[in-house]
Parts: sequence; C-alpha cells; structure tokens
Amino acid sequence: MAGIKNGDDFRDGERFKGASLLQKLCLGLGAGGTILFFVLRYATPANTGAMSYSWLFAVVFFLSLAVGGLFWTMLHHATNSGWGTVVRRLMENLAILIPVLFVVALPLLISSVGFRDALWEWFPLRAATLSHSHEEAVKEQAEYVAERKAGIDKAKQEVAQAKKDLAELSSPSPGHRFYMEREITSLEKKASALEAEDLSDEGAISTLTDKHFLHSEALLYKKRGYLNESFWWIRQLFYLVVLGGIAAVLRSWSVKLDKDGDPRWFRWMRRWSCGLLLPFATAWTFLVFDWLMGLDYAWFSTMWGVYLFSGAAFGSMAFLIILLTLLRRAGYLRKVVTMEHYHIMGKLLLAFVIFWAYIAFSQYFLIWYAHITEETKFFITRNTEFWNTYTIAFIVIGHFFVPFTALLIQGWKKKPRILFGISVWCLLMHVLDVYWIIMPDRGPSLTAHAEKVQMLIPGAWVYDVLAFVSVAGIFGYFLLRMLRSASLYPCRDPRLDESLNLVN
Amino acid sequence: MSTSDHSKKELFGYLAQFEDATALYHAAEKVRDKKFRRWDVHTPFPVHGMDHAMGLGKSWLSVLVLVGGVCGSLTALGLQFFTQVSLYPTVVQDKPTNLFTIPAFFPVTFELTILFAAFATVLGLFTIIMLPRWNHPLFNSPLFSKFSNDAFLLHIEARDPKFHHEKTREFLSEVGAARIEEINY
Amino acid sequence: MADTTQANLLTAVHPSEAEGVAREPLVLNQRSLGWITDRICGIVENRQPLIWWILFVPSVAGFLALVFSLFYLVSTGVGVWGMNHPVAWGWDIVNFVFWIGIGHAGTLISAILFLTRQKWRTSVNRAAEAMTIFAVICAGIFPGFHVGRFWMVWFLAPIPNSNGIWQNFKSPLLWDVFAVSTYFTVSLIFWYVGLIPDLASLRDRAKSLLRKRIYGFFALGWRGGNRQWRHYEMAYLLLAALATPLVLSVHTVVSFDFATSVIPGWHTTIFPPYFVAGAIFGGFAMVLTLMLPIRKLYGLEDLFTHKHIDNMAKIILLTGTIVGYAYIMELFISYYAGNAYETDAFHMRILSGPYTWAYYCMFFCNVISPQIFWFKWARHNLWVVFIIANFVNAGMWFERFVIIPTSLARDFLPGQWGYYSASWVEKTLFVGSFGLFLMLFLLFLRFLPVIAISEVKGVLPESDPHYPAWKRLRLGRRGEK
Repeated sequence: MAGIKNGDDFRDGERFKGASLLQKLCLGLGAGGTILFFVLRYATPANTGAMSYSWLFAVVFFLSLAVGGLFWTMLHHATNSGWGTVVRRLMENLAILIPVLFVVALPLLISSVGFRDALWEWFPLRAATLSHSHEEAVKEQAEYVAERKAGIDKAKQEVAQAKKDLAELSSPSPGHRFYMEREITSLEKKASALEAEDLSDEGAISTLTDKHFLHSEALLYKKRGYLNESFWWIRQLFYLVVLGGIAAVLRSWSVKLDKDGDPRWFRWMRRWSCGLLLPFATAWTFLVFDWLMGLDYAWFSTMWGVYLFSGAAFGSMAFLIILLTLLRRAGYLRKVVTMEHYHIMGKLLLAFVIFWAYIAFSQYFLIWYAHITEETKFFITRNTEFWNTYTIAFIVIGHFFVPFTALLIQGWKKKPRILFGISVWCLLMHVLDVYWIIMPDRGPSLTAHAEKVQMLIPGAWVYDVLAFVSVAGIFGYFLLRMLRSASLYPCRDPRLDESLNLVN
Repeated sequence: MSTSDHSKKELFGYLAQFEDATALYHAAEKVRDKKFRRWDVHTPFPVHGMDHAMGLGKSWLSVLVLVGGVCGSLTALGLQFFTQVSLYPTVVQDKPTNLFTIPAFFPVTFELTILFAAFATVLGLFTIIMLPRWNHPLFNSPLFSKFSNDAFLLHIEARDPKFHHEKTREFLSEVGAARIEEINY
Repeated sequence: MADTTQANLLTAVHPSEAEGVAREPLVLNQRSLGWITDRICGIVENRQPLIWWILFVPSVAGFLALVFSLFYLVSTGVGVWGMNHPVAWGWDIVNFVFWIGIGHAGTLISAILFLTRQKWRTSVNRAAEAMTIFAVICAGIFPGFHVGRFWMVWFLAPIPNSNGIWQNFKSPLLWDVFAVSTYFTVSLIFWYVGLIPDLASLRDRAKSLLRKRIYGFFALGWRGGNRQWRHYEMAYLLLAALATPLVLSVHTVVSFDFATSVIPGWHTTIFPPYFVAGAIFGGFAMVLTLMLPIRKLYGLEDLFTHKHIDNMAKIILLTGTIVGYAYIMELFISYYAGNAYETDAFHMRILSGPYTWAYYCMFFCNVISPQIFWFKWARHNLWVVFIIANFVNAGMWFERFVIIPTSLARDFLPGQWGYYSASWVEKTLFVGSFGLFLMLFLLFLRFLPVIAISEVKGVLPESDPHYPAWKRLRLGRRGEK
C-alpha cells in the first residue's frame, strides 16, 4: 500500500499563525477582568470572603487542565507510546502554563490580599488561637511568678522572724539555740532556692502555650506539624518547582528535538518522565490537600489526591480534543492528525469518564456507608438544598451517565464534530465538578458566625463568572503565545512515522 | 481425500492457497470486486484490514451485548428491590429499607450487568458464526488443515451465482494463488 | 542544512531506528509461523521433561493435604482454626484476598493490555488467564469454608427457601459472592474464547484419533474464516471491555469488605484503587514467577523475550510505587485526621503493636525491593527478576496480613486486645492451596498451549498486509531499493 506517510516529509513542522485578534481579545479580557476583579475586591471589602472562593475556583480549574496536560505528556513518554506524537506538542503547550497559573494564584497565597484567611480558616484560627494561647500562657506564667515572688518574700520574712526570735531570747539553752539555728539555716536554704529559680523561662511559656492551644483547638494542635505557615510556604514552593519545572524541562527538550532531530532528547524525555512521575503525583496530591481539602481543615479523605487527579486528566483530555478540533478547523494539523487519533483520544476520554466515576463513587460510597461523623460532613453539605439537585444533575448524571453513554458509541469517537460536542460537554462538567468541590464550602464557612447559616452567598456567582473569565483570558493569551512559539507538532520526533500512520 | 476416488462427486468449491497475508489481502480485494458472495479467507490469525478487503461491515455483536447488559442491570435491580424493600426488609448499619439505599445495590447490579453481557457476547458469537459445527466440507481437504498453522487460504463456493467451473479457477490463479484445490462434499 | 541532513540520512542510522527509539521485535530471530505452531504445540505433544514430574508429584501431595485438612475442618468445626475473639478473620481471609489478587493480573494482562493495544501481551496472556482461573479456584475455598457449616453454603445464593429468608444485599460479603462468582465465570469464558483457535491448531496437528476428537470437540469446528474472525475479534474486544471494569470491581468489592466498616485501619477511602493496584502488582509477580521457569524449560526465549520481562518488571515497579503511595497516604491521613483511633491504629501498626514485624516485611517487599527495577541491569538479570517477584509474592501476602489481623487484634477497648497466630490446619490449608494451584497449572501446561498461538502470529511484522510498504520505506532510508 502506497498510503504510508514518510515522517521525513514532515520535517519542517507547521507554525501557528493568525488568531492574533483572538490573542489580543484574551489579553484584554484577562487584564481587564483581573483589574476589575481586584478593584471590586478593594472597593467592597465586605465581599472579600466570597471573592476569594471565586478566584480559587478559576485558578484550580485552569491549573487542573495544565496539570492534566503535563500528566498526558509524561504518560506518553513513560509508556513509550507512539500514537500521540503528533498531538504531544499540544499537551506540552498546556503543561507549560503551570508557572503562569502559579503567578495567577499568588493573590490566594499572599495573606495581605485577604483571600488566604477567608479560604483556609485554619490560618486565622491558628493565629488567633496561638496568640490567645500565648496571652493565656503569659498570664498564667505571670501569676505563677507573682505567686513565687510572694513565696520568696514570705520565706525571707520567716528567716527574719526566726532571727528576730533568736535575738529576742535572753538566755537560750545550747540545745534550744542549736535547734533555732538549724531552723534558720533551713529557712535560708529554702529562700535562696526559691530565689535561684529562673522565673523568666521562655520554655515554660511555650509549654503553657501548647497546653492552652491543645485545650482550645485540639484538632489544630494535633495537625500543627503540617498546618503551619512556614511549612506551608515550603510546600507551595515545592509544588511550583516540581510541576512547573517538569513542564518546562520536557517542553524545552521537545523543542530542541524539533531543531536537531537528535534521538538523545527523546531518550532523556522518556527516562525523566518515568523518574519524575512520583514527584509529580506527590506534588499534585499535596497541592489539592492544601488548597481544596484544606478548605475544611477538619475533613479528610485518603482518596482526595486520586479524585482530583482523575478529574484533571479527564478535563484536560476534553480540552485537548477541543483545541485540536479548533486548530484543524482553522486549517492546521490537517495532514498529520487523522480520525485514528481522534478515536484514541475519544477512548482515553471514555476511560477517564469511567475512572473518575469509579473514584468519585468509591469515595462517596465508603463515606456514606461507614457514616462516621467527621467524614460525612463533606457530603452532607453537598446534599443540602440547592447542592443536592446540583449533585444529582451535574455530578452523577451530567459528569458520568451522559458522556459515558455517548462515548460508548464507537462511530462517534471517529467523527471530530460529534467528539468535539461531547468534549465541550465534558469540559463543562469538569468546570461544574471543580465548582462543586469548592463552592459548597463558601456559604457555611462565611456565615458560620452569622445568625443563620446560609448554603449560598446571594449574588456571589457574579464574581465567579468574572474570575473565571479573567483567568480564562490570561490562560488563553499564554496558550496562544505558546502555540505560536514552536511547531504545532514535534516535527523531527523519531516516532513521527508511527504516529502519522496510526491504525487502531 | 476419501471422496476423490468417486467419479460422481459433488463440487463444494475451490480452495486456493496464497503466499502470505499481503497476497491474500490483495486477492480478497479482487474477489470482492468481482462481487462474489459465498467465499471466505482462512488465516492462522485475524488479518488486519481484511474486513475492508472483503467488503464486510462492522460486526453488530455489540448490540446484543448492550441488550444483555441492560437485562442484567434490570434483573439485579429487580431482585434487590423486590427482596430488600418489599419481601424481606432488614435494617442494617443504619441504612434505610427504601429507594435511598440504592448505592448499596450498585455492586451487585454492576456484577450482574457484566455477567449477562458476557453471556450475551459468547452466546451471540456462537450463534452468529454458527459454531459449534464439527462437520464441514472444508475439513475434507488436507490443505485446509494447514490454515491453523501457516497457510493463507481462500475458498469460493460452487453455490455462488458467479461461480464458473473453469473461469473461477483461472481467476484464482490470476489473482496470485500458489495452489488451487477442488473441494468436494 | 537540508542537504547535509539528507546526506546524513543515507549514511547514518535513521532516528526512528536509533537506540532507545526502535521498537524491539516481539518475536526474536524472525521465527516463521510454522515454527511458532511447532514450538508451542510441541509442549503439549511431546513428553514432559523430568522436572515437570518432580514438580507435579509434590503439588499433588499438597493438594491431598488440602483435601485432608478441609475434611478435618468440616468434620470437626472451624474451632480448629486459630481464630477467636477479637481476631475473627485470620489466615482464611488473608489467603482469600491473596489468591484473588493474584488472579487479577491475568485478566489485566488479557483485557487492559488488549484494550490499550499492548501487543507484547500475546506471549503472556494465556498463561496469565490460566493463572487467574486457578487462583480464583484457590481463593474460593477459603470464604466457602470460612462460613462454618459448609453444607449450608447455598445460603449465599438468592434462592427462594421455605423460611422466607432473603440475603442482605446491603452486606459487602454478599457483594463478594456475586463479584467473585461473576469474575470466575467471565474469566473462564474469556479464556475459553481465546483458546478456540489454538485448540483448532492442536486438532489439525493431532496424530491420534482420540486427540483429534477431544481437541476437535472443544475447538467447536473452528475454520479460521474471516467471516468468523471478524465476529470473534469483536467478541474478544467486548469481553476485554467487560473484563476490565470487572477486574476493578472485584477487588474493589473485596476492599469494601473492609473499608465499609468503621474499624480503624480498615476504613479509608483510598482502599479501592489501592487494592486494585496491589492485586495487579502481586499478580504480575506471580506471572513472572511462573513464566520465567517455563520459558527456560520449554525453550520459549524467542517468544517470551527480554522485552516482555522488562515490561513486566516496569509494571511491578509502577504498581509497587502506587501501593507505596497508598501506604504513605494512609499514614499521612492517620496523622492529619487527628482522630485518636486512627492515629493509634497506625501507631500500633508501625511502632508499638505486636505485628510491627509484618508491617516492615510488607513495606520492604512491596515498596523497597521493586525499586531495584529502576536499573536496567536488574530488569535484565533473570535471577534478580525472579527473586524480586518472589519478594513481591510474599509482600502481598503480608499486606493482607497487616490489614486484617493487625487491625482486629487491637479493638477499641484494651480489654478486647488479643494476639492471633495460625493453627496447623490453617498453615496446611495455605500450603495445600499452593499445591492445588501448581497442580492445575502443571496440568494446563501438559494439555493446553501455554502461549496464545494465533495471537502471537498476529503480531509478527509480516502479518500486517501493509508490511511491504514499511519495508520499502525502511530500505529507502538506508539508500537501498
């Protein structure tokens, strides 16, 4: 069959041009939206709490797409795959946005914006408890010191009294004198011992602080080794270095491979992708522990990292299909990407619909079945009022049953138009999933001390939309820039032959 | 073999052997283009793309499996609701005995869905490909028994309306058959 | 620039054939189709080597020991086991989970690797599927006899009875019954459907009439026509697509046996994927344990190559690390949760409890020892692979031991604390189950093709009808015509 494509004919790659208007629009939306958002933040300080959740939602959603892109890149290398070489650059371009999104996330992390304390109650609670406990400790220590000082004075008085008594005796017998003197010596010893005690001991204060901390916030006290500010900052740095670093390194090698076609880069990408999977998984797990599970510091689930990972990989694959289809509609990648690639991407999307549902169901199911107070809170919130309908409609039916049924049909995965439609739906469901993870916490958290606890903050959805559009603008702008900066597919990858001639 | 001595034997068809998968593939394309109907290729393994070369569509077995799966789900849900909600309700682990216990019914529902779908697959397969059938004229040919080793064979039945005693034989050698055999009932 | 690269192309190795890029062949030494049939069918047709008998006799003895101890168990009562309050689940459930876990890799290799188009699976899947079936048989013994009165075991099935009693479908143990029996049935179907074309090979080669009749009967009259193959392939694909979620569900249900409870150390949300990863991990180790000697014994080096061993070692490394991730998550959350029972359960598991030795055995075997597979020399040294695979086999047993008795031995109240050790009956049953497993596997080697003949043939490069075009492309790049 003469239909075999020779990878050598595609060595020049394909550059993305055009869409400059779209790029400017994205920049405008991103910059304008962000400015408006933060102007509103400072103009209406009462809404800081509500707005903090909006920004977190937007950042986590887009970060999950980028991290998913990184996962797909690493998976492609680690499994020594050949099918996806022609679409790998899209994944790399998605992954390289991780550092950008960390910059976008900065307002959440820096306490002076006011978002951090509103989102993660343990920050203010810990600070307040600590300072309160410290005050208590200082007070207790002061009382103790006062007591001790009174004791010294008393002892001195006793010595003086004893001496006076001795002096007042006109002619004591030797025995009496002996006893009196011994009494004085012992009283003097006691007084000097009391005086010698160090009453300004810092160690005592810290022990007492701990004691008060434990008494007032036992849970936070037990978690103090993990939930403290300095370790928290170290972790944020670790996430940035690991996730951003891997993305940057892998993409730079891939672009270098475009230039010289040296298989060495290929080998390096493969080797390092295997080795870095564990740091990658660790970083993402603990990132979502800190950012999302930390929204309620009392709640925990060992599955949480896996749950967020499955969502990220799923949303990211839907986004990749959408991006690929739009690029092809604009006339790019037409010669290299075939329906076979769509078919595989559709199958991966299906696999992750199922995997996500498996993880989500298992997590729900185990917590529902065991019915332990400290765990059920998460799902009780999400099964109350508005959120109950939301969960059933979007998380159960929309996120699983609809795409699952649609993607089961083999023919649909080979038709870009239909797969595009399904992917748009899936991406929307991923948005709603991230919303569902974050937002049910907003009402109860912010109105915890109000007269009536509310599930929803009225009107806050406006900020959600604004934040989403702003971050989407920034994301779109940088994505288009990255698309422009290199060939749209790795044009000298040694596996190009295999990917071009893919047959399922 | 045993029938070759008889003079009044009835012809089943021709069995042609080809060099390799590629030759058989191209021959199949030509047989397809000649609009033969009662013919098949016999290979030691499924040849990739042969359905296309033979002009066959996609297998419709998956429809049966879907039906099997749905039956399994309904059976399981019916069994569980009937026994747990109406016949013999038991309160265990603070779980209600009504519709809201449905998460607890998922595991069994899932298993029976798979079980019924698997049965539908295997029974559907045997029905469609008409197995078991231990007796077939092709088994009369010693050449045919090589298909399961390394031979790439193609047979055209005499019952085919396009079949012609000489022309089909010529046609087969034209499309590259290395060896042609007559198969009798 | 263009000219020099063009010149380079003709003189140097093309990047697609460079080291670390080129795909290694799945069958070495360019073996022909006929050679493959001869070599694999030869195992069944020729006399078995002496070592087969050396292994077969003790495994039959083990099987007889199993039968004897089961007889003793049933005739005396489950009191002959070492279990008592508070440890009511001991070696029996440990062995059940161990065996069922081993079974999973078989389905995984067959189904998931099939769906992901991993062609190297073809050399291993048959043996792995056989292993699945035999392992599930071994697994089924334990919960069956664990119920106590074995003759009442039909109570597990939802059969209308005169007492009007129905099973509790909300109980994880009943889900287990459905999951394991479905798993066994579907695995058997999948295995048999895969065997049909190879049974036809054996039928067509049979010299004696009896062989021809028996293999012919089970081959169902397979004719290898494309009108059969196309439905057959679809059926195989569908069975793979059904078996994949089934594997996940079975071990998930097994994990539900523990995780739906409120016992610290059992109830944690990561259990389902953690159990599945563990099962795959242990199963791959068992496949390697079985296949490495078979490969050597029957001269299958060209079919079961270093590439296969390398890939399987990598999967062991990956799943071992996933299991390690789950261990660490459990430990982290037991700290992070701040729940006194959780914290204590894990404190006793790793520091102060009576079974800490089991935890460290497990951690070393499952997480530390496979890390040696980061090194290529280790993956290529058959002895290292074999030894690590056996470490993993042991480690996975210890994992179940750590989960089950360790969590039970320290109940909520110190007054209910105890220590559990197995009696001779439990030990004999465990050893005997290995005897049964090995016996069945050896019989399988004796009577059925250990490698899927038709599938291996299908992955040879020349089996692709477009092979000549690829060959031309490759030759063209080398400057040849």
